[in-house]
Amino acid sequence: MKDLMRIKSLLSTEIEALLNQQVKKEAHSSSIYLSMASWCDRNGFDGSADFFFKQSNEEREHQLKIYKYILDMGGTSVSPEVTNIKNDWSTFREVFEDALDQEIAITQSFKNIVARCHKEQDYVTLEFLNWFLREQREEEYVARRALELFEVIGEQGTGYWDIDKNIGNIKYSAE
Amino acid sequence: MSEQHIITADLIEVFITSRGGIYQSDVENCLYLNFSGKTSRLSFSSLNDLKKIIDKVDLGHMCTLIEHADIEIILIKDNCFVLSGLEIIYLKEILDGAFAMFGLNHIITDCLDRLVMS
Ligand SMILES: [Fe+2]
Repeated sequence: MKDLMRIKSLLSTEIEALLNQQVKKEAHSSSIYLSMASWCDRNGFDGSADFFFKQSNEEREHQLKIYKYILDMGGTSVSPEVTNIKNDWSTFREVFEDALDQEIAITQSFKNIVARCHKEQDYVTLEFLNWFLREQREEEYVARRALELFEVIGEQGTGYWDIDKNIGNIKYSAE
Repeated sequence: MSEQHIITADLIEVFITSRGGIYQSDVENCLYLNFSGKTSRLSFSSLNDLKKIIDKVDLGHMCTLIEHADIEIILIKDNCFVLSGLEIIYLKEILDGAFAMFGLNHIITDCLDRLVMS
């Protein structure tokens, strides 16, 4: 008997479902960053607003990258519904705390998919996910460095102004 | 339209119960679902879609409906299924069985594919 399931798609049902969940998480991230950009802009933090607009675009690209991979492998990608987007923060610092929390959650989520790929010996998807693991290194680094600026520069006096001016300069340069 | 297809000799039995069954045609790369007096020709992905829908049906909620009680209408490509709560249970059993067989067939095919031919 032909393996029609395999002929149709390289992805198992479980991995396809996990990837679709990840599509949703990336879409959610993109929306949250957009919301953070709005908050920063209306509170006078222009540098940070720019930073979050860029992050939001990146997350959208991540979403599409996974979305297209599912389709390319013969699967069904699902356009996600994005709800529960926070749009208010009590302090400037809290925005960056949330940003780091979010990146950590995304890294953990990728680790979970990778673990499943190992279990199923889906080395093709594993190789595809390597790009994201690498990307998460940078995402976490940048989010962590941004939050550290609050310690390094300090929140007194013109601290917020300095932090905002320096957010855009954080670069991850490792190979 | 689907009723015109007659189950022919090239069909492989995937999973059957006393209520119906699923057969595979390796010639046509498709599946035949024989259920409640009707035979439907479905692609693998359509059958997969049907399973996803059936798995999501809330039987408890279905039974409590006052109007149109106990009826679920499912459209998959050219096929329309009008199912009672009981039929959903029977169909679910067939689909679960068939997908377990697809999974098993996949494992076997995968093992054979990996054998080094000498
Ligand atoms: Fe991302």
